[in-house]
Amino acid sequence: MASVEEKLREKTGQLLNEGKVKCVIGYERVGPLKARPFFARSPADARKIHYSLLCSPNLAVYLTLEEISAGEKIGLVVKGCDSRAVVQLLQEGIVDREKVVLLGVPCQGIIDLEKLEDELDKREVLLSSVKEISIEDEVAKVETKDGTIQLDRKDVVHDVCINCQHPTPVLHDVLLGEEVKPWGEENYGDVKEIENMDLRERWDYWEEKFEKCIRCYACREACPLCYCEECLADKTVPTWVRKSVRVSENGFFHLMRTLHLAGRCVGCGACERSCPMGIPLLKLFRKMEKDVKELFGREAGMDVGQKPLLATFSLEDPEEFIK
Amino acid sequence: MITKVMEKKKLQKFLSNLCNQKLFAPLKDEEGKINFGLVKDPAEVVLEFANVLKPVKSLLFPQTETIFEADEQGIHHPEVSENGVIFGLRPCDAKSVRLLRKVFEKDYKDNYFLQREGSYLKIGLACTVPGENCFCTSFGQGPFFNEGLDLLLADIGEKYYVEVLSEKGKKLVEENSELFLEPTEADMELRQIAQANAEGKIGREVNVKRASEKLGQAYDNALWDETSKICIGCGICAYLCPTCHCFDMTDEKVASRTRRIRTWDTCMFSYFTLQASGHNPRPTKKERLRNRVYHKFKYLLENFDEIGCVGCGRCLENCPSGVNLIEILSRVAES
Amino acid sequence: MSWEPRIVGFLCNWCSYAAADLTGTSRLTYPSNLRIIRVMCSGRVNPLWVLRCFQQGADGVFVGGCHPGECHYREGNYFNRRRLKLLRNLLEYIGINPKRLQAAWVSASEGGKFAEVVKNMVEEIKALGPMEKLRRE
Repeated sequence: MASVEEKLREKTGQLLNEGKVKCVIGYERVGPLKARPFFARSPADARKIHYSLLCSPNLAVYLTLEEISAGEKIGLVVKGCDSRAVVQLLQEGIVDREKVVLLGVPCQGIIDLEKLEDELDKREVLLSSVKEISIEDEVAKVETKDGTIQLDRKDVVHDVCINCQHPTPVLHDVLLGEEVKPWGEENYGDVKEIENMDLRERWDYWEEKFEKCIRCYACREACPLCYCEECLADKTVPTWVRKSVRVSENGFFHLMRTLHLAGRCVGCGACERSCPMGIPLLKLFRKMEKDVKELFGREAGMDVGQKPLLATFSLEDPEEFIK
Repeated sequence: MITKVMEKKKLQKFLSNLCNQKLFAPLKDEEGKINFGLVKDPAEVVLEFANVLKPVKSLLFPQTETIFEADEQGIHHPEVSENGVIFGLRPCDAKSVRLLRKVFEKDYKDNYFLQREGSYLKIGLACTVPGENCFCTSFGQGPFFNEGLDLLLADIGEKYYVEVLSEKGKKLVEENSELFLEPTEADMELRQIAQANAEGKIGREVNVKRASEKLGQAYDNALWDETSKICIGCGICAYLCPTCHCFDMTDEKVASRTRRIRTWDTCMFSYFTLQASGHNPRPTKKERLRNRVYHKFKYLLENFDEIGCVGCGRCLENCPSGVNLIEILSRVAES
Repeated sequence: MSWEPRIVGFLCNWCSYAAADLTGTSRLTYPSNLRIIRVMCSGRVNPLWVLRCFQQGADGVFVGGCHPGECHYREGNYFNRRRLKLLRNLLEYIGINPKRLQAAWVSASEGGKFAEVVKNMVEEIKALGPMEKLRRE
């Protein structure tokens, strides 16, 4: 049976051959443990298309970053979370559905190289000896130069992937693999970890994180939902965020992004994975996700026809804090 | 050149003594990232690491630097001399200072950088195990290169081989003379072997000279469009680069004071060359990525006789989209 | 002179601002710690303004709006209600006491309520002390 990657290559080749799309945005493999975005423009390129657990960036970001010329149709490889980002963009009227062919790929999770290295360290195996990783059910098979090691899926994928509720793309033109079902219930353990701290501990935690930020804006650029042509963080008239890199400005930037993504963030984790300082950004966005679900019963990126969270209201919205 | 050895067990005492002089050394943070930090407890200093994440420029040319503050009493200039010690500098970072110094002393002498940089004593740690993305040897340097340092320590097993490279370094060794011994023939041999091993371990290579020369004709090459497509336009490459030095100046008001600050900037941001008229001569990522490579491998060479790269590999290791400078340079070299 | 909290109040023009006015004309007193900024509707209040207030030295922020169903613009206060709830939760999540951001529905005739609400808020902020997190230095 053809693997997901083989089917993806075939479909990409077909779309390009038939001239149905100008290019297909997918991934290519550039090392035993590294894959990166790739723009396939020819049938020869199609053979380089790769799909695996290494495919970390959310490709939906290119729908708004890329200067996709008017009238050009493109193909886009989407995992579960990526497809939800596309749904959200459609909800907001940013993407023309007719111009994108969605190549859906079911996802087993994205490998967290640091977690993998820790697990291999325990077994005195070097990360550099790894040749292939695959996941089936809840087992990760790690092939190294000296043999295969079996690890628990939970111990090698990113924390946010462990209990992903939508591993199979929710919107696609073609699904190039078997549907993958969630492995467990979403428990927001990472958010609860902060909620269990008292106010003093919480501020100490976040102050330390805001201090680390170097305002490279990788989190913002990697996010498919951050598509404003002029971000408030860059505006000088008025100046919302100063150029100085300090806790108060960095904190403002991150809180601003969190508020602007409330009800819109699909929890793909591209932001956190792109942060060079390792700031646990998902803890902020998933807090909003959890609250939005509990308070307003809504989930981002599921229904193209849904009205935006903050442009709507309910007569029953909570107001216990209002005197 | 004066050479010594220091037994590894004496290092903690050395670091402890240095703590009295404001010691900056590699420390591991909550996220497992290793960066230069002010050392309170020498036992926390990390010795097994490829390179610090933020290059030494973050200490010499701070990301946010106060140029002056003004209030009713007048204008106040900050103290720039740190009078500190930096320990654990890798040769690539040490070499990066050469270019930074040239930039900050041409025409206008920037004392904020020059004075601060000059007030540090720099102790390097040779790379016995280079990182997998390092390519310093492509620039005529190497993992044991000693330029820009006052002392260079190299791990030779039970001891550190110490090269004393300046008057400041000599003075420091004299002040801590009980921690240093004379090197033996065996020590010197181990040092040679360690260097050869390290150089052999550098896994990446690029013909920088050829790439630099070819840039003259490569301006309209399709490679710029192709390689820039995946770039997301963040500032990671420039901010983590030891030689990138562009900055912005702004004024901020705090209570009754106004402060003029200098902050890092990057040509990779879309509005870097945005003009007041609204015109942007580098409107897309293609122009910006191309410009960055040209600036570092051609223009800086023409203006300062220095290549703007030391082969540390941080840009390609940390790029969230996998933009690979070595790949780009190779394509230029072969064009 | 002991520390006095500084609280910024965003009052909607039609209800809570009028209420503050009524408090004055009724000769009721309320603490002068409140610095009032009039907005046309509580729905105009941008959550980022609240963060900015804390950056610029405010110890607390108050938002006054019309009662649900009575908004001059029909629904402005409903939008505000959703936003404020999320903002308050987020502030608490990063360690800022939610008591520093308070809101009240105060109609134009509720001069007495306005005074009460402000008095209580000032007491609560006094007990919490100065707000230093996020302060611009």
